[in-house]
Amino acid sequence: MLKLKNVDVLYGKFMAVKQVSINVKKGEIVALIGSNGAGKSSLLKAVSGLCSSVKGELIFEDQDLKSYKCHDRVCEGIIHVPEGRKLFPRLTVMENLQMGAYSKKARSSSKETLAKIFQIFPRLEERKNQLAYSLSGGEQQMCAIGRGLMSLPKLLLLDEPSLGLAPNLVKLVFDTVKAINKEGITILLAEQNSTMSLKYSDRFYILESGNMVNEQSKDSLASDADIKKKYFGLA
Amino acid sequence: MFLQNLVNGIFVGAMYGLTASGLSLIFGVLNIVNFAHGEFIMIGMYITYFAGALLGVNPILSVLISVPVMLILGVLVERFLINRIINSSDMAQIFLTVGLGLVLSNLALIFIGGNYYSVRVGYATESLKLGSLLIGKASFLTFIVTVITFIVVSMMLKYTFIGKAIRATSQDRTTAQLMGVNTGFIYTVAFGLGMVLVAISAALLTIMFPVYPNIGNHFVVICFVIVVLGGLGSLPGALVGGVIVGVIEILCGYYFSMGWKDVVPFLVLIICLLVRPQGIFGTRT
Amino acid sequence: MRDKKVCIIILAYTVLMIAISLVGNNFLLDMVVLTGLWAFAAQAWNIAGGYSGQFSLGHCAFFGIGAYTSSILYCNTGLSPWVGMLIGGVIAAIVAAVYSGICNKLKGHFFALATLALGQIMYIASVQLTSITKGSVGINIPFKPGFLNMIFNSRATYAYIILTFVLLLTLFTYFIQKSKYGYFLYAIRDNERAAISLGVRGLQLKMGSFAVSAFFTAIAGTFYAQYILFIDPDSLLVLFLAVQMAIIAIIGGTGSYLGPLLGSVILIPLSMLLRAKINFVSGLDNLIYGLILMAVVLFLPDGLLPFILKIFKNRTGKKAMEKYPKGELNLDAKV
Ligand SMILES: Nc1ncnc2c1ncn2[C@@H]1O[C@H](COP(=O)(O)OP(=O)(O)OP(=O)(O)O)[C@@H](O)[C@H]1O
Ligand SMILES: [Mg+2]
Repeated sequence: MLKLKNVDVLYGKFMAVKQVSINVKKGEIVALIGSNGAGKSSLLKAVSGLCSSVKGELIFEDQDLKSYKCHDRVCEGIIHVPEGRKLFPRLTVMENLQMGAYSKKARSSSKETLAKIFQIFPRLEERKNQLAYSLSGGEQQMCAIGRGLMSLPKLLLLDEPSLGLAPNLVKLVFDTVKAINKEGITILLAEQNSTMSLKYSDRFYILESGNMVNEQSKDSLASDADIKKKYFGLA
Repeated sequence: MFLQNLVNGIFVGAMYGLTASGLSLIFGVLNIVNFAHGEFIMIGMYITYFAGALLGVNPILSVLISVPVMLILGVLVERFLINRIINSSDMAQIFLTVGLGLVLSNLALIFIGGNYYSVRVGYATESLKLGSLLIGKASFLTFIVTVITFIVVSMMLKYTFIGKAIRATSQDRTTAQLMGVNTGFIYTVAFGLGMVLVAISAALLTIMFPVYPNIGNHFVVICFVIVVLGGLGSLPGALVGGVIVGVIEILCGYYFSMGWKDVVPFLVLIICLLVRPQGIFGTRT
Repeated sequence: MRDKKVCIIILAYTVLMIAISLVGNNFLLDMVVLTGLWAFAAQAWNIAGGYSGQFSLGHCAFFGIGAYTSSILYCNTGLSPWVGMLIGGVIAAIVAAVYSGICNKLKGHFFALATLALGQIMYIASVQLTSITKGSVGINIPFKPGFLNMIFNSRATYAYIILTFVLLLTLFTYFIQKSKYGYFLYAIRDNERAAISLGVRGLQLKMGSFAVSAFFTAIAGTFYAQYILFIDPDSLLVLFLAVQMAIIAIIGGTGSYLGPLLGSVILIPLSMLLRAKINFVSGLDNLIYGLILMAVVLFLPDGLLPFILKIFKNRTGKKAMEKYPKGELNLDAKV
């Protein structure tokens, strides 16, 4: 579904991502794992179109993504839930969700989608008239994911959904991610929380200071003690 | 007498508030202080004046002409000029609009000349009596139009889809893009809407003030004071800021000398910039 | 290298001084004086606007303080404008330092708005304080030629003086730019928080550069008053005057001490010629100012100086160009 080949991401002269190739198949949950500054967010931004200087091949459903502007990629079915939620602070929860359904395709069926999202996150319905900045961290994350889902995406880019959440909430978020995935939405996830991502993802890629170190599936990991130790703290 | 002054101040101030609202909206969305705002007011006033002088259209109805003209002008200016400096340095943003203001006011000087023109309306000198209060018919009319305009625009921003997109873009342009908003288009819409507000307020100003090429300088400074006071980017802030400035101006004119009253808005501006730079209604970014 | 540049500046100055002594044409001399005056004022503006990033739209206030202080002292007490000039400069510097200090937190647009308010307040004050400033009637400075009075029969003398001023200020800014203070100021302009975290004293440097800038702007004001021999609020304390200083510096290029000089040499003669030759269209000169300003901001955001230097370097340095693949050569145009 999404194929990146030898992708570089540049900020001015600084190269945040170097020659990274990844492949996401339809229906998968794929995780990008790496420490701070590894370039996970930058890679997601390259896919969603926020980074202007990107080299290499970006193919989404057999189309060259680079010919689409950032806002057009949403229509094509890619939505990016950014790091730190980035809700519109002085819009209500309801308005935030409606902004998710901004693209024409999603707008027409926004009522039904909204009902579905309130089903997944009943908390959001209770708080629908509250201004977003006053939500708790967990509610904000739900709202951000809900807002992303409002666009009826084919591919959901999730950047650190567990950031700053208590362990039980982290689990809730990951369970929700799994449930969303079961509905047929492909997910590309950037996470520092490697144990959780390991548990919930089908495959993962490891990034280290902009370079891709390794590609693993759950099964192949079992035989790779080095990686296990370094990135997952498993003996 | 105090009450009379207060009412006069509120009426003048509401009109000032409308005059500043376009500036505020444009700043809120594009994050650019439009130093050519005064010159756009000047153009709007000339349109109203000439609509009256050449076609016999009354100032309020002249908005039917000036709104579309200013809207088109605004869209062109945004597409060809403002758009190109939206991510540039502060210096580029300040001085592009400063340069645009110079160009517009001097074009007016060259093609229309430096004469002062005023519109005469029959009701300019008539007043309504409300108990012991005297309310000029003209200022009452402008007050009504101002309030209606504010309500319509606020509703539009609150409830329409494009209005929500405008607010979302003003709060976080990057995330708005991520949600599929074409922010470039929103900038154009916001600038155009700002110009519509300018056109309406300019039509009202023409009833009370003469128009000449440099009239913009007179109003733009008041507008700056108002938007800083109310919070750059906030429409209700513009209205409240306008009323505050209007009341202060009238009261100071009454209790101090006429000449020194003009200093008061600037003192208010400076104090406000220092104490609460985000304004009464603004939020820190 | 440093000495070479200073030598070139002094050589250019000497050549100009000699050239002036050969010019008899009054219009031409007027042009030289005004070009020098505006080069000086723009250079002064640039110390604040260009070096420390404090884009002032209120420098007319300091220009006015300079002109009014020396003129009032001269007309009422007979104090020589040479002394009045320094007093005005000091007053302007103090006002500027205080104002810059209290506006320390304001950036970009907001700083511009605050300084604009300062200019407007000074305007109103000069109109209202009629007992001191004679209000909007203005002050006529009696024509009594003499060196101590800073009033001269010949325009050439004014030209010598202002060119010397320009030379001194240019050398001053040159050495500032070269010194560690220059680097500190650039650092503050480009990223104030980072600069401060590295130990640069942001507040003091900003106040200082604004004060120095105001000091020299006030001196320009005194010179203007002594040249025109008439001052009033509408010719000194208007927004356009503040904008003009900024425009000249920006069009020339704010990054360097040569930018304001270049801007003045291009703009002032141009606008004077327009005003003299096409005098039936008033406003044409300012229209062209505005158009050039917009064009420069849009297409040459670093001003004309880097652009001209680049052309110049390309022509003389073609061989150097051939050595490098296109686009790789970084012609750092900062002098
Ligand atoms: N806008 C930017 N301008 C310049 N450099 C940037 C920018 N954004 C990110 N970088 C740099 O790119 C590198 C990768 O950043 P990125 O945000 O992609 O890391 P990350 O893997 O998401 O880290 P984290 O886990 O902390 O979110 C970092 O060194 C960062 O400093
Ligand atoms: Mg990240």
